[in-house]
Amino acid sequence: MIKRPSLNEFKAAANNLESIIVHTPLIPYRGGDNDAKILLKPEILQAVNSFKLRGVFNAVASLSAEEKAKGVSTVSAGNTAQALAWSARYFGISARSIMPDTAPLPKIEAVKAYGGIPVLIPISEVFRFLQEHLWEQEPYSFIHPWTNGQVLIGHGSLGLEIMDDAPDVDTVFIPVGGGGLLGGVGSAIKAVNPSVRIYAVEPEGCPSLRSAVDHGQPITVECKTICDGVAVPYITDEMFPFLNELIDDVLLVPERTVRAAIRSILWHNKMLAEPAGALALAAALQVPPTHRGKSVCLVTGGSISSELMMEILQEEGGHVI
Amino acid sequence: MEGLFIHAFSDPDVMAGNGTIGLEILEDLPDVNSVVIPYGGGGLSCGVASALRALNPKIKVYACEVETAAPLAASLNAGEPVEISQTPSFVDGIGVHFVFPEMFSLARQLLDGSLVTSLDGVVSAIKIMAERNHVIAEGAGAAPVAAALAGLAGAGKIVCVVSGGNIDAEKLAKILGGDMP
Repeated sequence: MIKRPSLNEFKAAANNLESIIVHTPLIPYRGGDNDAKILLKPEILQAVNSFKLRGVFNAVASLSAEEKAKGVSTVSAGNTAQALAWSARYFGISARSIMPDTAPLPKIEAVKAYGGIPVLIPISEVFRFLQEHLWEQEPYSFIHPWTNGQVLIGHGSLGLEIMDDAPDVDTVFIPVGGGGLLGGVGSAIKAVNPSVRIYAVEPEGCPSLRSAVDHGQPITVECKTICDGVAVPYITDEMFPFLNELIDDVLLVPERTVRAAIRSILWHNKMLAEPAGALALAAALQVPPTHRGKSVCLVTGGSISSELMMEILQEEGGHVI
Repeated sequence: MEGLFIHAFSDPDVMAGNGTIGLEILEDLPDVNSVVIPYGGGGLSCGVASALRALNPKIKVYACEVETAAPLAASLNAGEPVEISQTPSFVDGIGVHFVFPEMFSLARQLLDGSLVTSLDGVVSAIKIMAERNHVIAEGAGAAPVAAALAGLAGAGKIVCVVSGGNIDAEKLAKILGGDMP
């Protein structure tokens, strides 16, 4: 099982990241009624348009000179690969990312633009690579996207910012893919104030953590969702007990609600979120305000193609929340 | 009419409020080289410029207009307020056919000029900001970015004031599709 990092580890990482990371503001959600007390944390404002830079940069920076010289690699649906390429460019080393051949084009193009090398393979092969630890046969320094300790600790810097900016927060809504974000941010928040509620959020179309919690152990689920950023069909054995201990509940969001939340963030706050980036807000709006209290929703990323954006914008009968 | 009239741009308190943008810029980026601000009535650009000038006179502060309605650029050229012919466009936050005389003398003192950007440039700036920064800007809000990307604001650290994001769905969809709304 993964050990919960200490507050001091989170603080040290936050210090190291200070010149790289944007301390993103908490912006009131402008939709709904004014008493809703929902704050958005727009991680789309980071250099690679997602929170991933926090953990991935921290992990790459933590490598020794010899490890860096080997070049770095990871496995990614797109955002981690961008963060890895960006970080590798910063240190003048090479970055290779195994990506599903179904990854959105803007994500693949962005990886190339930062100087990274995307290796596109079928999604089943991507998960096989992770499950069978195939990176061990490769010459690169491998940064595991979820279970790497330095990735978790780097992501935790986001949690510290929340506790600095809204010390009286009641509930934080965090999307789950592999669980790296949830593990890092959740641990950092609980280290500062254990009574803050942590709600994990998944699309109904890919309920890997929900199913694991219900079964008491990880199981593989089918993933059919617009939320490519969190479409991971299982929680690893080492992640599950760690996450299970951290969370207060797992909330599921229907696909059409995700689409409506993308429109809501766009029209009310003028920000463009990718589907996974709209999950947390969608979930918060499903919980009665009296129950959730003052809430923070992570808007994790913004890599969405113009085509999908236009489709969602112009949807027949498309509503906002 | 009953009530207090608040002038949209020449009210000193409106300008002072807008000036807080200038203070924030200096707080966050003390070594900024130039700042580009949309010019409609002039209250935003003159307010921001006053704050910047007071704290660091070396910063270049530019107004920004769109080619279809650029009365400030024409007036600065002429040395006095002149009327121009204006073509209506989707950039509705800025763009009238004349400069208010009381704002002209202030603008001439405070601003280093007016950068005039093309309408195509504004369309592509909106698209780029949506796709790369994930921020939705209206035409006026994207004009400074268009000007800076065209090189009009020179080199160095440039801050563009993205003044607003009120654009309707239909126009935004057109722009994302690569068309002129």
